[in-house]
Amino acid sequence: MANKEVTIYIIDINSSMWVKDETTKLTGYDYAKKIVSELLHIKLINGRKTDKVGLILIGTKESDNSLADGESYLNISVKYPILQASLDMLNTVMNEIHDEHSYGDLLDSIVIASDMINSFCRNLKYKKTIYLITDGNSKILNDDEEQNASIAGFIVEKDIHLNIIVTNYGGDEESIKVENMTPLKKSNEQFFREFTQKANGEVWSVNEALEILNEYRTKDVRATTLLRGPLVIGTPPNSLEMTCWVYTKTKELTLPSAKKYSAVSEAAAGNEEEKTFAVDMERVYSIKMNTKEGEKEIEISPDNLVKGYRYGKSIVPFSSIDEEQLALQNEKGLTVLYFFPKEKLRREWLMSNVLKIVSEPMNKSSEECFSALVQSMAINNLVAVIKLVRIKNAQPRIGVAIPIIKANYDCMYWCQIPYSDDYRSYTFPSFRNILNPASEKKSKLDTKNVSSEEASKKFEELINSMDLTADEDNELFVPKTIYNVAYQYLYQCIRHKAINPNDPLPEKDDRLLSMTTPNPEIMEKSRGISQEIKEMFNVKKVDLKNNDKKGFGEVVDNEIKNLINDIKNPESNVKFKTEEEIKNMRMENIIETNVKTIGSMNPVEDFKAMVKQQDAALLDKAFNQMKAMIFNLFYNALSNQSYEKILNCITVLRETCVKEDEGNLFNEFMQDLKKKLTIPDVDEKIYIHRNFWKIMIDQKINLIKSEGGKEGVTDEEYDQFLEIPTETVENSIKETSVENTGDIDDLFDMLE
Amino acid sequence: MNINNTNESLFDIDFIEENEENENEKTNDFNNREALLFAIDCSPSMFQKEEDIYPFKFSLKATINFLEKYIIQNHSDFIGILFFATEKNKNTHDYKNIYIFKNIDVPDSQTILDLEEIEKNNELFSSTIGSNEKVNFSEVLLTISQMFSENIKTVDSKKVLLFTNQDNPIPDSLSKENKTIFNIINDFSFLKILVEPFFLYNAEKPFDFDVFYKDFFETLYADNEEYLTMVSQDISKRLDQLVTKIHQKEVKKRSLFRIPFHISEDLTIGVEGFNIVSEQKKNGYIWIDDKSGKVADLSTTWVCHDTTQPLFPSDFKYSYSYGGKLVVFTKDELLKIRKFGKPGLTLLGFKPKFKLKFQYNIKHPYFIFPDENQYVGSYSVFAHLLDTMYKMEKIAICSLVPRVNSSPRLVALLPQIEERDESDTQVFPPGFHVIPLPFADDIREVKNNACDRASEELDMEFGKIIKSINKAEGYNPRTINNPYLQKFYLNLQTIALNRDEIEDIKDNTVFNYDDLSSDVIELIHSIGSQLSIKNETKDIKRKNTDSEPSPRKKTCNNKGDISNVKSADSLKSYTVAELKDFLTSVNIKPTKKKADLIGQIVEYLKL
Repeated sequence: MANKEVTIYIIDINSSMWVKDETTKLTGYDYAKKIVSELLHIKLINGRKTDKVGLILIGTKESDNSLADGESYLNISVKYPILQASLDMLNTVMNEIHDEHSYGDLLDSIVIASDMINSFCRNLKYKKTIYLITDGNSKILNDDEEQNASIAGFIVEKDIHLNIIVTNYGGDEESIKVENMTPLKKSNEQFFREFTQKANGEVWSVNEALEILNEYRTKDVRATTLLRGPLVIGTPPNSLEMTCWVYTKTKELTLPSAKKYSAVSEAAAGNEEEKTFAVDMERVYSIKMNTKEGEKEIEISPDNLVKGYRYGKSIVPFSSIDEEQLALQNEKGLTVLYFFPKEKLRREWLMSNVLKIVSEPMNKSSEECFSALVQSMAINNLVAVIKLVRIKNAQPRIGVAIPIIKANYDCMYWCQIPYSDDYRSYTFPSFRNILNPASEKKSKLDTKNVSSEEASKKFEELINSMDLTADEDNELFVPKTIYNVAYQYLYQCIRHKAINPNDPLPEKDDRLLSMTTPNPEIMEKSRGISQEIKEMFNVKKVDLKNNDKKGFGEVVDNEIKNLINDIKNPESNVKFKTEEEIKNMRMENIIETNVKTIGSMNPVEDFKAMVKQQDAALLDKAFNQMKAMIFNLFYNALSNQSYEKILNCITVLRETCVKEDEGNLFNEFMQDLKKKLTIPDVDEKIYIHRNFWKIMIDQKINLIKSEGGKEGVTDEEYDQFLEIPTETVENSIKETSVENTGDIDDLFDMLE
Repeated sequence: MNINNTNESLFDIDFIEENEENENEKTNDFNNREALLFAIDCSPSMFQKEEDIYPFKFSLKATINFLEKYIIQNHSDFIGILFFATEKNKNTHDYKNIYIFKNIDVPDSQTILDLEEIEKNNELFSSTIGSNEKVNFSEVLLTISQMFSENIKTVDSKKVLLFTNQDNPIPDSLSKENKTIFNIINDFSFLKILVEPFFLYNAEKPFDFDVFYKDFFETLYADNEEYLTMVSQDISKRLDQLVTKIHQKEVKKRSLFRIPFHISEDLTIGVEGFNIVSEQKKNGYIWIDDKSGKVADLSTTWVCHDTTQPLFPSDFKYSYSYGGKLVVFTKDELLKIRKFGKPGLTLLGFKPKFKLKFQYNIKHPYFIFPDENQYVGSYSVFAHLLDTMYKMEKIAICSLVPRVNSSPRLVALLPQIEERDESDTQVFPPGFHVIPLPFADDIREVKNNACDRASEELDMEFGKIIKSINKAEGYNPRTINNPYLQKFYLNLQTIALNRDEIEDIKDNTVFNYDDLSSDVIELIHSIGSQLSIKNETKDIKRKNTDSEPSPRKKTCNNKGDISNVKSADSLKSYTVAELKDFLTSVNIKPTKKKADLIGQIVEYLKL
């Protein structure tokens, strides 16, 4: 295991650290707290087992350290021995450390820390670091030059990196700060500089430290090879083969998944310490079987399951073993297919993360051969098409590799490009008519009221005003300086909640938000120009009510409505303008005599057309089909997108039943519908749309009353019909609110 | 977690990831069902050879190919097949000369087999369906609309692929005066039935678009200039060019998002996003019961570990482990954390094109095109911005939130102007490629040691080799199929259609320069010997990746079989794993410590 780390934080809590600064109102310890908590946060995010930390305090009442012998190394305590960082430690630093009115020696603490590291790491390979945070205002026993040198020597020998962070650090310049400093602090700072020089360490001011720490940080990923294998050019024996290592150069950092946490367990009684709060998943596979008692669900053991792939209507069973055996065979490694000129590379075809290919290190012939390949590609301005097979029989990827020549080594960057399967040659309308409008006929889509030249000029102005590279040394929005805002914020929230579990989420800070939002200066420059463009092109928002999230059904309905509006509106460009033509255009006028069935597209129109034919047999058929269609629409309704249509169907059915004196037929249907919509288990597929009943109530779609000798129900039945027992209503509301969140839940499932 | 994804990990251990998007595409797929109707003209002229092609056979073949691909890729769509100008009739209204071959439904493998049968056997067609000159085109259209309305399942788009070589299907009418047919066409437009023509004609028998179809499409797409332009562009295509067009139709043009593009605080236009390039994955699978062949339903329930109580989604909170403790969030809080604003594309500024480095890539790009339905003027603004940026060689840097609940990412807009080939077919559409840029968090620092370089002479020699395998025209994605997928599809198809043997696929992902000149071959060998490249590769493999014996095992073989060991001392030279393996092989349960293991073997071998 490479990259093991040990870090020790030493905090000076001698009395001077607790004195408030006149201007900032902050104590030295406040700064220490801030710095150590930032440092610990990094460790906690990564949560790596091989990453250990320890905490030492200088100026404690006790002398809890292994070197203390009653005479020296006094008043220094190891608060936490070397362990994996814990929230506990962070909490201690944040809330539990106070002035203990004692005095401990800084140099002693460095010796203790070095000793702890040394006995922990022995000769194993670790990255070793000490952070000492102090105000440099207490006396240091440092008069023994020889001893100082030997301590520094030990630190160098053990390869420990020493960082001393000093509050109100004067530095070595002749600043006012230095002049106002006490002689003790001055000499201590001088000592820190000399000592760290000897020990290969560094001295930081608090501001410097915070600046470095405030940098957004990212999960630190070790570079491991993705593939080690041959890179071949040509067909053996006429081939050149070198051994290459492939690394990941870029890879999308995804938000870490949250684990499901049981609120039930949280609310339950019992010892908090023993609770896991875990949520277990239980999966059951079942099939429907026809038995004597009807259809039954039978559980199937996962062992009896085979994979099936859909092939149109049919499902093709394909066992994993067969599938593996029949799959394409491939050897792992990299194969050059051919080269092509760099300028023919279409940047938009790069479709994956980027990999870095280098020669196997310490393999002279491979290194030279690979270097010659890269160099010759660069000289000839060529890029390579290279197939990559990561492990034996894995899916081969096709990619393009470009030569990269670094100061002391050569490599290639490789990125996947599309197979014909991955490439969709969609066609899109041309802009020819907009950019170069023909004189006689202007495209409807060309909304500008100026010439193309004038428009282009304006855009040139816009582009120049919003140049992000205007300041060469300070290019804006460079990938390396922009952090994943959601990731950074997530960890800010986790840290905040870890220490303050009951607080609301912290606000997103401006610095974070500025990473993905327009720069105010640039916006200012472009504002006027974009306003002119807006007017030049008559840009207008299309008023679509409730356009936010709607099902397709509504979109179509809306479009049809718009279409009809367009037709009715004489200003519009649609060909048919008169009422008569609108009528002619409707399907029922052409084929109404032919309608014998109700389709789902225009059930209301179809139904009307069937009724209109005045044929008793057809009328019966129409009623039955309409009833079936209504249930069908429920079955196929994904959410509430078809509700309007269903409502229209019911309304037209009711109207016709009143007209044709078929009150009972309608009432029976309504009873049936009510049962299915309000009582669970009658028809599950319809019961999921139980909210629809509320629409029925809102729209007052009731039974048909018996009036004037016609078929129908009594007033009493009529009055009670729409009501449902309150309990059921509440339940249905409650459950629906649960269900509505379903997709969000899926979202998190996906993350898991 | 979708169970369908579990098998992928066998092959692609998080090599290139694509989680969220694919999920979204899947749901999109479901909401975006399409009904397609192949309407094929069967009149006698369709059976006459034209430039070595029989138009009818061509149409059938195209349909079969289409079905084969479609069936594998889009199993939620509906397909129907209608023959017209036939001898026999088969339709609900008993219209003459119209034969519904297959109602609009989920396609099955039998349809392919049936079509193949007809395609191969002319006799079969003339005896069962037959060809006839006459057909009432209005009735054809009525049948089509009837077929769509009978298919009661909800679909989002209805499309007719019309194969014909008749430029005037209603010869005795003077187009516009024929009210009935134009009323029907209007109805098509009203019902959003799209018609994609495949006019099969050739130089000798020209096709006069203006006689009928001009009016037809102008009526059909009266309010849709977009389609109208596309159709009129397609008309000019000849038979051989239609093949490309059919291939293009195999993939549905599916929009991923429709969002506002904020050019500044007060200038916003609408854009629609597509995937032009994105990895086509192997189909998802379902579980079926081995015995009954029935599809197994999966039900997942959640149980509280501590109380063993069943849980509902409302009982969930979410936790992260931080410093050994669980930090708990509610669902709303987690959503709030991800949310940085409404879906949209926000312009941040412009940079020269060369600033878009090769390595600034993490996943496939999107393609955006203006959407006039959100903002009037979108087309014009978009077209001019695109054109100006292209001329100035600029890219735009934007912040993109493609969907509700997605967090923002910086993207580069790379302008692409329209390109057409000699026959005026669009090769590259106009629009912006939206290239997702890596965050600092996505870029890895890989440190490499200095390497040995070859002499300049060798670099030059190498240059000669690579120049000889240089394709000046560049890469063309259409030339290379994914052999892995092709093989999988073929296997599936073979099993589904009960074909006897599995054909071999042509794998184009190989080096195929068989005709390297002798000079080049000589150079290859000379470089090889200069660098003393041995054709053996040191291969440091990870565990479990292959079945070859590890070097350790080889030494074991040198040491000899454990059963031949003569003394307990010599057993010490074996590793614990080897000792354990041996014990397991003779059915003795191995202990943990080496000394004990040796003891067990001593006992077994009675040393």
